[in-house]
Amino acid sequence: MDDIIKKIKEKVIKENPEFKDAEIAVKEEVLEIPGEIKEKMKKMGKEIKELQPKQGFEKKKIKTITFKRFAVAEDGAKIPIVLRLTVDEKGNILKESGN
Amino acid sequence: MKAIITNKEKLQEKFKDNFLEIESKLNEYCKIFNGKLFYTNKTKPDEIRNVFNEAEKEGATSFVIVGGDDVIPFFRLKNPASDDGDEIVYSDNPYASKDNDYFIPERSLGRIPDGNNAVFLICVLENFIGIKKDKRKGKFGCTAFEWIKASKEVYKAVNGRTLKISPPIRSNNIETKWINKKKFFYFNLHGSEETKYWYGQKGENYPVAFSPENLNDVNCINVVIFSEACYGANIINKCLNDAISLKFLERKAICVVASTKIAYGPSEPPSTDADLLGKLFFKEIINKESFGIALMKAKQNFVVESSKKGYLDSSEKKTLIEFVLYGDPDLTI
Repeated sequence: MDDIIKKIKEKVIKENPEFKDAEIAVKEEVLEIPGEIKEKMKKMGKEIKELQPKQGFEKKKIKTITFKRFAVAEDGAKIPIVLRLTVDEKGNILKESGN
Repeated sequence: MKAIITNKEKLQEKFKDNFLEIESKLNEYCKIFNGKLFYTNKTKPDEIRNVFNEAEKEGATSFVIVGGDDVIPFFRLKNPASDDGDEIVYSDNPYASKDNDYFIPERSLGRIPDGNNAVFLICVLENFIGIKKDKRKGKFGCTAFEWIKASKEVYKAVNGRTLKISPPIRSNNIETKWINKKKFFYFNLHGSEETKYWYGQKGENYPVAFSPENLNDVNCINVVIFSEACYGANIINKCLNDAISLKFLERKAICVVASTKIAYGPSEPPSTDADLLGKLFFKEIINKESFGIALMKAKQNFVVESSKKGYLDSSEKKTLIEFVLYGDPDLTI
């Protein structure tokens, strides 16, 4: 596990101790908006515009770190609890979402 | 023209003696809504999709699937966020798409589930056949304690102000007057594939916040629901008392938009994932778009908004395919 992942893991567990024993998965992806999607949206009259146009539509290298555990509800049901973070190459958290 | 697509053989096999009554209701439904019934005996989603293309060539501008997964199956799509434990995503998105990209819908589409019960299906069809507009404006929103800030942002889209928060709200202390004769329902709660309930959360406390029984004596005529609960639209092998989404339809709700699998959202604004989709959907229906067009446009606008950072991530792709509409796509508030 590289330093970035290690730091993110420490941060998440510090803020959310319930994720201490969570299953962790790391996925590295190079993402962009495919040309056919841009074309499809354009045909619908909906143009995709990047917020920071200086960078243009470059491919973005991101890591998605998924923390998964099960919580037990008051009625005994098992509820999947997932926390997903996307981080850039420098380790900046770009997005955090859960279920 | 509205295309009503179902599998006659599957309905006959499933509902036996009740099939003739169902067929009669389907014909009545067609007559009222300028619809045309398209029967298919295909059982594979890819093949059934051709019926949508044929219907479109005949002039269909909206599409209604009649029946559950065992009549007209959901597509089983690869989960873009597969490390969350959901291997596949049940989706109607490819039926709403004209090309091989199934993330962005281009058709107005809804599904009328059968609830594995002929009486349920007949009642739901009768509800749509006899629909009458009303002037209700009331709303009910319920969020897990942990997501208050994020939920408030979504609820604003229907001018909602006061959300019920769980905990302290529990299914057994919800008062009928809070949910009776409303127009909009918004839920940002947990869900489980194992049970029929939706759950609140505060720390490690997950109380039952909403159950099908909460709707037992509630008038839900013409109600519109958007739920972010995981598995909120899971109807596979479920009867009406096993799924809140089905219970709403039985109580005469006209539109339920919810997720078939684990759905995501932030804990605070800005809205992303399911929160963003809910917000965009509510904006469209407030502007009097039909429900099918509203969900289609909300997904298209979701792509525009989410792509501003230069890509769609895996939970955004999952959000696009896992939210389905139960109801008639041509109706409006």
